[in-house]
Amino acid sequence: MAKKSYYAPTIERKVAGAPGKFATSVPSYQDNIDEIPIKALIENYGSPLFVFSEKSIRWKFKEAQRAFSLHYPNVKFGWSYKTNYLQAICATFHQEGAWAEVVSGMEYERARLLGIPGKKIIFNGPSKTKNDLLKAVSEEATINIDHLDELFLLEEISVELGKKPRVGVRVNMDTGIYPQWSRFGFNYENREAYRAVQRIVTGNKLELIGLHTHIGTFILEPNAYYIAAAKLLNLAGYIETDFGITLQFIDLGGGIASNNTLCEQYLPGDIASPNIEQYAEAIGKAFNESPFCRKNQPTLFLESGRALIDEAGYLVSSVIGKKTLVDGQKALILDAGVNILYTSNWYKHKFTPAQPITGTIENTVIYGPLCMNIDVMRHGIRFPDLKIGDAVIISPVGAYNVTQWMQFITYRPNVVLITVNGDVEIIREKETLKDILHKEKLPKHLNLS
Amino acid sequence: MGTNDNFKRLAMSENGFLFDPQTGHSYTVNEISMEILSCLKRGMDESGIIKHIMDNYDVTEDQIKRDYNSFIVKLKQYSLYEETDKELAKKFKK
Ligand SMILES: Cc1ncc(COP(=O)(O)O)c(C=O)c1O
Repeated sequence: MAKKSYYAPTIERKVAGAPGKFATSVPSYQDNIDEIPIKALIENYGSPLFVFSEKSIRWKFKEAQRAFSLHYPNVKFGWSYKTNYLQAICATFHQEGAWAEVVSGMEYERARLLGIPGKKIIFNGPSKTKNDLLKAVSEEATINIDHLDELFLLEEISVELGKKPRVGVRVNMDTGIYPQWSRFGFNYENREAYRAVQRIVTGNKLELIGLHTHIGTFILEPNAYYIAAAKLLNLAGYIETDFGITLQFIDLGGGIASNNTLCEQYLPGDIASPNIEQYAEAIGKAFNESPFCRKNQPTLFLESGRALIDEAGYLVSSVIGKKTLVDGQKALILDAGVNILYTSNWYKHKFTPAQPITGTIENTVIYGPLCMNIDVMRHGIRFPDLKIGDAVIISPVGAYNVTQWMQFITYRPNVVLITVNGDVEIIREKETLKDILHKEKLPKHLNLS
Repeated sequence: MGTNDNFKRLAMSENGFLFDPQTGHSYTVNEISMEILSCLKRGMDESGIIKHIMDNYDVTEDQIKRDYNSFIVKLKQYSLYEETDKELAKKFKK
C-alpha cells in the first residue's frame, strides 16, 4: 500500500479576535516569475538568487510616464542610480527615455560608461569632488548645488575652464511631512534658497537653469508634492521677476512610495501606498495652477527610484533549517539574510512559498543564515510549514538592495534578468573568493606559506 | 509510560478541532498531529508513535523524530502534555 504524503504535525491555539482582517490573509504560493519556474531558476542559477523582470520595469516606467504626462506633458525622468545601478537595469530605464540622476563620481562614471552624455546627467548630492565637477562641467551636466562651498567651488571651476556650469539650486522646505529633510540644499522658508540664487546671479559665473528638491523618501502623502511643487514654482516666479532669469526645469526628486510595507505600518503596502496617479495629480495640480508654469512650461524632472524598480525585483531563497523556539514559535532559516536584503531594516517584505502549501499555517519567524542575532528577515508572520529545500520568494526587493548589500560572511549571489522575450540573463555573477581577495594585499612578513 | 491527565481530557473532533473543557481553549491541528495525539491518548510511547507514523506516511526517521520533538515542545508550551517521571527517567538514562 502506498504511504500517505507527510507534512509536519502542528497545533495552534485559537485566539478570539486577535488577527485583523488583513493579518489573517492566507498566504498563497507562486511557483514562477514571468512564467519561468522558480525550480528551474534555482537549478540553473543557485539559491539565493535575485531576479528582475524586464517586463515589469518597462511597464512601470510607461505607467509613470503616462500618469504624469496626462497632467503635465513636459515631464522627464532621471533614473536614480543609487536605487539600483546594475548596468542592465540602468540601460533598461535609459532605453525607455530616462536621463541619469547620479550622486557621486562613481555613479557619474557608470552613466558615462553606458553611453549617457553629460547633457543627460543630473548630478546631485552633497559630496561632489573638484575632479567630479571638472568633468561634469566640461561635459555640460546639470549640477544641483547642495551648499555654499560647492557654489564657490563651481565658480572657481567656471573660471578655470572658461565655461559656465549649468546649475540648479537644491531647496529644502516644510511640506507638512515628518521628518523634514533639511540637511540638503538651501532652505525655502528662511529665504536661504533665494539668497543662494541672488549670490549666483551677482557672481555671474554660473548659468542658473533650475530648482531641485527631494523632500524625503517613501512619502505616503501625495499632497506633500503639491506643496513642494507650488513652493518651487513660486520661487521660480520670483527669480523671473527679480532677476530676469527664466528657469528651464523644476526637479521634484524622488520619494514616491513603492508597494512595500514599512515595518511600523499596519496595512500592507499594496493597500496603504497611494498609486502613482495620485502623486501625478498632486504635482500636476501645482503646475497647472502656477502662472510661471503657464507662461514658460518648464521641464518637470522626477527622480523616482523605489517606486519604479521595487516591484520588478524578487529574491528567491531556500529553507535550510527549521526549529521551534523556546516560546513555541516556529522558525525558518533561509539561505538569504540581511547581508543581501538591506531593506529588511525598513520593510516587512512579502514572503511567498514557491510551491503548493501542504503544512498548516502558523506564526513563524524567518531568519537568515548569518551567525548574528540581528539576522531576522521577518518577525512573526503567518506562514505555512515548509520542508528543507523548499523555496520562498521575497518581494518587492528591487530598490536599494543590489546597491546597499554587503559582502559579509559569504558571497553575494547571482542576479538575473528575465527579459521581455522570456530569456534569463545573468546581469551580475555570484562572487567568488578570487573576486573578494582581488583588492587585498598580504604584507610579506605575514605570508604563512 | 502514558500521558498525563491534562491531555486525556481533550475533546478531539475528526476534522482537526481540539477543545480543552477545563481551560476553554480550543486548538486546530492537522492530520499528522491528530495521529500523534490519538497515539498519545492510547498511551503509546515515542518510539511506538514514530514507528506508527513511518508505517503510514512517506517520511524519513530523521524528519519525523525532529518534527515529533518540536510538536511535543508545543504541547508542553500549551500545558497539554507533561512527561511522566518514568519517561523523564528513561530520557535521563540515555
Ligand atoms: C536626490 C535624490 N533623488 C532621488 C532619490 C530617489 O529616491 P526614492 O527611491 O525614494 O524615489 C534620492 C534618494 O535618496 C535622492 O537623494
